[in-house]
Amino acid sequence: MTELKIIYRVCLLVLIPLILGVSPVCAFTETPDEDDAVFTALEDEMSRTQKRLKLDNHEKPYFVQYKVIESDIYYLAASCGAISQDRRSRSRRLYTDLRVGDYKLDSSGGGSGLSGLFGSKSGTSGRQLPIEDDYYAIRQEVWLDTDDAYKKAIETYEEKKSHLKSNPEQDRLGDWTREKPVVFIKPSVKLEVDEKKWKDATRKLSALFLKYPEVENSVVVFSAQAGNAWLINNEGFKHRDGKLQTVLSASAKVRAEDGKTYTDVEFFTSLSSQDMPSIEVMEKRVDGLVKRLIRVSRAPLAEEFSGPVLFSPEAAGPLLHATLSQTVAGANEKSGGESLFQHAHPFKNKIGSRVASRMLTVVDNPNATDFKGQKLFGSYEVDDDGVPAQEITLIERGVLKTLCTSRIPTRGVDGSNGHSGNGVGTVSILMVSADPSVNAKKLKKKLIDLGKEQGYDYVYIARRIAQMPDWLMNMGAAISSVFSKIQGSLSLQPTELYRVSVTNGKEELVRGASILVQPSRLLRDISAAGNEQKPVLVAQGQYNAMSIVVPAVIVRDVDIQEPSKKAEKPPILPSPLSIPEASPSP
Amino acid sequence: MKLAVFRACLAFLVLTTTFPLPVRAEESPVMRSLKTELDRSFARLKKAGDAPLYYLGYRLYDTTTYYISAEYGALTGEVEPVRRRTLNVDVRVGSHQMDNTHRSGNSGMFNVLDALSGQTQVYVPMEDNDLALRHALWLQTDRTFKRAQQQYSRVMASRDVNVTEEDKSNDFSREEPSRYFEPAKSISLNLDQWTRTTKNLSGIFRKYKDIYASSVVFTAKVTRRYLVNSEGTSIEDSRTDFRIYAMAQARAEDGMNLWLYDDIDATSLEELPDRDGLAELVKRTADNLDRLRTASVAQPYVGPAILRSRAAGVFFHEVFGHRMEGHRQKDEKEGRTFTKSVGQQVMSPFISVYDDPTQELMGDLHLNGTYKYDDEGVPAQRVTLVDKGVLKSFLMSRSPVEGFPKSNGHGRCAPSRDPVARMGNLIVESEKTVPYDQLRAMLIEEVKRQGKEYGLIFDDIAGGFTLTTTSAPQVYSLQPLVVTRVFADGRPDELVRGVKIVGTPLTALEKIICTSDKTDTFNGVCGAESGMVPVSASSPSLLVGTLEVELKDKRQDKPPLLPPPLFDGDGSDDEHTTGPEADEKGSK
Repeated sequence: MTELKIIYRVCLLVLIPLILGVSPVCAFTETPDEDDAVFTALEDEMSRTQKRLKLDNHEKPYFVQYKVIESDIYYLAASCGAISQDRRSRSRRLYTDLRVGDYKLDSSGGGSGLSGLFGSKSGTSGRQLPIEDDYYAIRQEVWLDTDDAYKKAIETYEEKKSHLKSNPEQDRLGDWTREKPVVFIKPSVKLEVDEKKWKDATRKLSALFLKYPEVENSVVVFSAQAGNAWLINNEGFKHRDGKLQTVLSASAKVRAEDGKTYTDVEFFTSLSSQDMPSIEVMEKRVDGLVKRLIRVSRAPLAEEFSGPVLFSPEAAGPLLHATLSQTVAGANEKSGGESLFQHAHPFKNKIGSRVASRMLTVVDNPNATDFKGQKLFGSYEVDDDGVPAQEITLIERGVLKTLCTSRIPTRGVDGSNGHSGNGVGTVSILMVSADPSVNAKKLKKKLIDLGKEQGYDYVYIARRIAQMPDWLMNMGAAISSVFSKIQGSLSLQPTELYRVSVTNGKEELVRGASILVQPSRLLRDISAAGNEQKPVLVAQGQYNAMSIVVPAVIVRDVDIQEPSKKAEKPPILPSPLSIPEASPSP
Repeated sequence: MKLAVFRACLAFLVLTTTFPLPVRAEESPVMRSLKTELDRSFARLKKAGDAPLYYLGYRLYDTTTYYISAEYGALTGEVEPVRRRTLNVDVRVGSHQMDNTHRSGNSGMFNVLDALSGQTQVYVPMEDNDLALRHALWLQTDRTFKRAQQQYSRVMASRDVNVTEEDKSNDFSREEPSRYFEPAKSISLNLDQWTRTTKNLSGIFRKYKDIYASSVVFTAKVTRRYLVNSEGTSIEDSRTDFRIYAMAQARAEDGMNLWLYDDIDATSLEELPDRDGLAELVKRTADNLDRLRTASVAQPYVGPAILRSRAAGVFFHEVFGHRMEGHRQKDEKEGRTFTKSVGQQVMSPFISVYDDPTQELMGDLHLNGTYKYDDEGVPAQRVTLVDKGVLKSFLMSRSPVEGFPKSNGHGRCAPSRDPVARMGNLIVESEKTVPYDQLRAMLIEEVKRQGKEYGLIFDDIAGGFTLTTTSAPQVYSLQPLVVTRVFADGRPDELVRGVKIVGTPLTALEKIICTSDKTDTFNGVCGAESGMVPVSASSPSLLVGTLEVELKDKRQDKPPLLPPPLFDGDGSDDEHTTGPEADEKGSK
């Protein structure tokens, strides 16, 4: 299937120039529309820039790329059956990438300046553009941004050249890969959302928590987003794409008797808001969330443990997604650990080496839209650099074959493989499989056997890991997750963790543990996997979610940390929800 | 429900914001929920901690904001009203004399961590759902109460280790409770028309080749305020604010970054100029900036100057008004310029200054800093700050300072902040006035007397900032937007660019020589530690003996290399030369 696609592309690649008589341009969809004011403004300013933007004694830019990101978000929050936030925001931002020099050495990356120090990527937050299709109003901003970018590029370029003169780098890979230009035009999308319907739905879902006095705080958040992107550059890339994304999340906080609190989230996603699950389905899962949380709050406290842990596919999804994001992506030359706040990338220069257990194979396929009839989220046809998405085998039987790359050169990988996320190599839809693999029953037996071998009385099964904006409910957790990221380790909060007796296989729910793993080591510690792969949704920030396809896995050596001794005191007064309705003063 | 009405209205031309009318007179459902939870909490939390709870207050602000922004004739953001409710819970434990809010000097790292860890966001419902609202109040009250207990123990510990403070006044004043209810205000706004107007106004800048960044913003805001506390205060009132703002930026040939803005603030739509008037404002901003671009660069200067019209009010607001804010007299980190000056001559004997939030009009202009009750529920009062040059009093919130144990109704804040003493309508009066022409003649005389080549006239001042803390020098720095040189030898006046006013406040105030006979008012908003609050400043034009001016730091960037797209090549305007000379002719 993949091969077919490539052939198709190659054909077009040969055909188009023949027909048009222009430089090789590969067109996926040709929908010429001259009415797109964004494109016209970008193109006109680009051609003027190429022809005339030049400072005396300095080079003209060799590369000019404009990207416009338009976002239209409708956002709702509700608690206890009442709406607390309701807003719509629309914005358009321009991201200019202008480079002086050439592909080998250019003005990108900052180098020794402050941005280099903090290891920033391409680094700007963009420039606000008018949201209306007004040609001159858009061009005015494009003009100013280009002028700024050119002046900065010249400064950086000179600074970088002189820095390299005194600190020569051997075997430099270059700064920017050459790619075949691609024209890919899809219609832009519009946000259409039934505001009344979703207000009713969030109200109704948030009111479900009222039935449970154990729930101390809860919130239901709904967001529907339409995102459109335009990209052009002077190499001939031209790209327009539109995407819808709808997410609803319900989170609740329950307090155990000892004062410790537990939060968990259920979330639902679809492209268009019309394709969301029915309210009944969501109600059922939200109800399940509360019941689960209550069970957790009544469970005994987890204890410190280091040893084998089995992750069900639902738990393996966030675990492997977080691990792979930090290992098989972003390993470009600039991720060298030379900057102050960046540790060395774990898989840099590891292509061809064994990085995972022999049984594991990991494929990344941005084009995948379903898995055995189940919908997958996060797919794309063209990446953020305008490069066509490619299916790649990252790890084959434990050996690292390639890395997710963007146009930033990566050692061992030939150019971009269509995995740019904001200009940096990023994972998309990951498919993890294992050979050999065993069924669920045998897997649990393996876990117990491993435990016995190592002399443990208990082993653990994680069935669910907290994801989604933790900060919605808990700022402290958000801060600690940032800290663990800085240290290069990964801290995960299982919301369903079972202690399994090695003598009789009995499972008992425990609460409050966190799991600490080292992404660089975890893949090698996988000692067995299930034979059933499942698509699992992984939250990406607040407005987004993507799929990963994973089996259940056993990780040989996992650190489970016991809950902190600290507990906040429960509220002094009972909740107004739990007391019989006091008659309001007459 | 209400919001659904909102959105539906958007489709029509006229949009009306309505709030549910109270079922019974003088109390809305929101107020009832607030009171129920306040009573329950106050009764049961009083003795629940180590330190007794002696004050509990809820402040709830329900704001609906319309924001229309445009540049170059096109919208830059979604035009849709945003409604938001902001809840503040004020908890005081200990006693009026010393409580948890006492400034203890060491507010270190632990406070920040305390504030962050375990923090759960509280969602305040914007629907009138009693249980949902009380649930939010309950969570917020509990958290604030616990934090107050921690703060209090820190205050006590700090009292034990630190030397006694100079000012031993109480932490909280005793005041009579206030009860006030006014019907909800609504905004009747033709949103389509205002969208068009804002876009058209921003399009005016398109005609100016050298103004490269610009924007016009229109905002309309209605705020319903609910104040309730354990002393029995219950206030429910509304406020509407309208603002139109034009900003433009250009760069002089030498790379100096120049910008100008102008804005009009009003409390009702009728007070805003009509469309022609607004276009006039935008054009004036654009023309002034265009002239400024080619004006000569100012030189550092010390000498006589006139602060003209609105610039005089802004000058007083920044240089004097902020130093009159009561809490600054107590805070040992503050410079306390005037703390010990009560009863002393601090400026020219013909100058009196007062702040009067109860005054609604200056001439026929509505003042922006008018209110009946401050954000602590204390009735607004006229305060004489300076009488015939002698310092009389400070602006007071419920945080007493030595000699001033009571609030005078100036505890103000933006939603989500805590109130501190702030200005309302600052008014400068003079008993030594002359017509403006004469004042100008006096400036030239003074220039000659001091043996200077020229004097300066400041026509407009952009906010600026004033540093009142001890860690910074007691100086102010104001950014004058339009400054003119007036020569002693009768040469024509000359516009200059790139200056800022610096110096120490006392000297500038002592040296007011004379004032004009006409008072001008600046309506606007003022930002300080308690957020943005609406204010006004009124003053006659001031002739001062000495004002110090220094050069603004200038950025070294070159102007854009290529001309603006609209003026490049086949543009309708036939200008091909991009030199400044050609342009200067065009604009004169």
